[in-house]
Amino acid sequence: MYIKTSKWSWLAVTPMMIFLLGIFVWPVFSFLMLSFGDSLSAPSFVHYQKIITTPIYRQIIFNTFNIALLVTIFSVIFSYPIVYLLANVSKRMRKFLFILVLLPFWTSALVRTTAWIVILQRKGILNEMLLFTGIFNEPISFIYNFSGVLIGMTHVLMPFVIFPLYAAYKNIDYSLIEAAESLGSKSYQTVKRLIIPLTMPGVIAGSIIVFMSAIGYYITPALMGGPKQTMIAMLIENNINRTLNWELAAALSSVLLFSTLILFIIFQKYFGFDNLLSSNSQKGSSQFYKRKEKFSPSKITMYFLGGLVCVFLIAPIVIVFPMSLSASPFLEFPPQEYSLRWYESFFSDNRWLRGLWNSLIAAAVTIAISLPIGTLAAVGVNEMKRKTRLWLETLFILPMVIPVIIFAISLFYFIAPLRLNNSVVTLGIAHSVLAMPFVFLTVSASLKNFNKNLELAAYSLGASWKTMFWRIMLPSITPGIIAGAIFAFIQSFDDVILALFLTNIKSRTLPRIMFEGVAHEIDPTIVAISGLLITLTVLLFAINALFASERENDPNI
Amino acid sequence: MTQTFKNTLTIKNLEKSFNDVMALNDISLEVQEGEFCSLLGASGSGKTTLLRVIAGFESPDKGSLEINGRNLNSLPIANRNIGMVFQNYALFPHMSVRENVAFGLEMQKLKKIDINTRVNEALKLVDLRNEATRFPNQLSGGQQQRVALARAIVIKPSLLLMDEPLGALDKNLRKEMQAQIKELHKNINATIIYVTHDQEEAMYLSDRIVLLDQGKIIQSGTCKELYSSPKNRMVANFLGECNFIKLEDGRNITIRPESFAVLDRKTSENGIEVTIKDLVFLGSYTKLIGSYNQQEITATFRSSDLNPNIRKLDKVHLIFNKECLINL
Repeated sequence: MYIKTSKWSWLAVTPMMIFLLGIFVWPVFSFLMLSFGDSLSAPSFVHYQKIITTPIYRQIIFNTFNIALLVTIFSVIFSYPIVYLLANVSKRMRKFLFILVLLPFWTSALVRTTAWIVILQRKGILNEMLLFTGIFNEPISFIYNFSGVLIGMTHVLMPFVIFPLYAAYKNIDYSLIEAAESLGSKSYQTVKRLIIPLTMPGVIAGSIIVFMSAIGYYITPALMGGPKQTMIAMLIENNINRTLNWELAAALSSVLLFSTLILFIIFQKYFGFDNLLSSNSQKGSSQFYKRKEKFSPSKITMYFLGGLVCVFLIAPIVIVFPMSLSASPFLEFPPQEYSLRWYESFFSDNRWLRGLWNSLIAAAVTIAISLPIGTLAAVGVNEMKRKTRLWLETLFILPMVIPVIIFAISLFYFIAPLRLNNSVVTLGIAHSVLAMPFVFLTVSASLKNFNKNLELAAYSLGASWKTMFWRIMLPSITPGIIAGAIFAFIQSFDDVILALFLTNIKSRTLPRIMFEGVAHEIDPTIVAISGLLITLTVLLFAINALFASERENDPNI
Repeated sequence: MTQTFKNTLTIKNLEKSFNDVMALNDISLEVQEGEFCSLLGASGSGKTTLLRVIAGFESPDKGSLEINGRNLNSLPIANRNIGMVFQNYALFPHMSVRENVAFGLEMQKLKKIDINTRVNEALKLVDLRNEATRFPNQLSGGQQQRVALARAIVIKPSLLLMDEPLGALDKNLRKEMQAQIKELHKNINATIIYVTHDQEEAMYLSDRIVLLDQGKIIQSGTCKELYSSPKNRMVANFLGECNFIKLEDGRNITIRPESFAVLDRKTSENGIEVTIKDLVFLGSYTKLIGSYNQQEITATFRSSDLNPNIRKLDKVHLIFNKECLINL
């Protein structure tokens, strides 16, 4: 039986392999080769030399790493109080808080950025509040500078630290803390000597992911930073669209990609990417002894800080709704008068509706491609030996890791001569590259939970592999497939970067139109759309939770 | 090292409940200095709760705890100076053996040189000097157990608490560790409170056994007292086996299996005629299971004392001495 399935398992992973190699690896590779000049036989390194010798490029690379480092540090610092809160509240409250943590992560980058701009701009909510209290006489510049970039990026990347940190914290055997106390340890000593060292692996795992993602960021720094916060991704884009220096863009992309890959390899070696998304796979569930602790000053402080972090995470998402209901043509909070005029404006404007339609088509194409191929690959990989599995998993996860801007430019470079760009279907195919790893991971996670003995029991009762798959395996991995479909949809529906390169005025998607709007001046219609998109995200979340609850697992993803 | 251990623990009218379930119900107990006191009981009897209240991990609803007349109730755990050996050892996984043992002394802010001396002393006591630089996951179960012991005693606690410390070990290792703990108790002359559900272990180690059931102390005394004059059927059953027999003349007797003698005919008033249902050879002794008036009787004999000719389904007389009967 196993000999037979191993052959089938290679067949099952082939479509995903071919798809990724053809549409992802090969274009990226050929684009990067541009950096070595025209002839491959005599590679030139002038562009790399130029990067090293030009002060402004060095400065931008330094900036990028500096911003990424600070974002990582802030993510870690802010994660501790919220993890403490998560670990100490009731189960129901914890589920709610998990949703709070995840919502910004799954909300479109544009929606988040729009909301932050509304809150933080000079006439924004925060400045009005500060002026009202009289502490400050002049508005403070929170955005279009360094703090704007830090706020925007920490906000979205924090979950990557929160989850592994929570898993590590939850895994601390409570009797260790009691042992320390009985040996005379005060609470600050327990934190210093036990909690921090024992949660360090989780913190490091999360930090690598945050840093790795941060160095490739494009949208947030472009919309929330100033000229001094230019990051590598923006420089690459600039070289393609303004200076038209493809070779230099390729060289810069190589630098970025190389840094990303090194971090990814370190991470894969020590932690493993698939553990991060399914943090419930950590064995040894909480050993927490239910002991009612008295409210100590330190506990109250941690709760307060945890609460503040929650507000930080959720505020931009909540604020969108009242803002979108304002009757005023200017953004104001709280609105003087409520109306639905900006929602009407969205549904009556052909430009927006066409964008919505394009987005929906692209998402449909994405699901249609990534769901079967990703699921098949997960089933195939699940049957393989550990070593082969690790290699394939690394390949299949790669699109999540590599900065989207590099992929977008590469694909553009690859298909523009074929005149395949400017089509929504092409965009959907490109989105499938981003979405497929999510399908692969969610289905893999549910396959891990699938009891192998059920499969053997089916065989022993005379079922063929085919019967077993349709009647036993597929029903039990359905929640994973549904989660994969939802993530695929979100990946496609939220994308801006690929749309910027692969669509034109006819085929542009909703996020791209929003991007163009936000970059200039925020029209209240964009806030209304943001409200709609958040509602959609919450709805998808609810659907996922509904299916996930059937298997009695923490919907941690 | 010996002096600091000598302390008397006094517990008065302790009560503790969790969500309306009385975990401890009016517990009063005095443990003398240097005494090895076992809390024995089935799971859910409250023995672990009692230990956790003494350690300070739980606060009692009512009652008082004193060590040498000093009230513990409002004292934070960190200031109680009570050594604790946990069921799963609770060794700090990121610290070496030496660092684990030194932890409590570092909390007392002792000088480095004093810490070193005392850690070495403690490691020597548990015979782990060669393992000092290893980490917990590189040690066997028995070694981990000894690190936990060293870590608890190195701070010279006023009281040493042990929560089923041998529960995770296999049977042979348990026996070995029991001997070591007994030896240690003798050497450092500590006041020890030891939680276990294993009556054999409790009898082997303890000066005194406190038997708990449903949050109450059922009986407290030396092993001999509890064995030979149990207060009720539950105590009699918990420590050793016991026969509760209704005789033909209507009398009820309680008798340990080893208190019988076997004869093939009736020689005295104090005997019962049983049919042998099974003879189980267990090495040095043999267990006889018989039936008397539809009651099952268990009797044990030294294998060498038993007539080799008796067989299953034979009828024999089990004779007992009146003095051996247990008065309930």
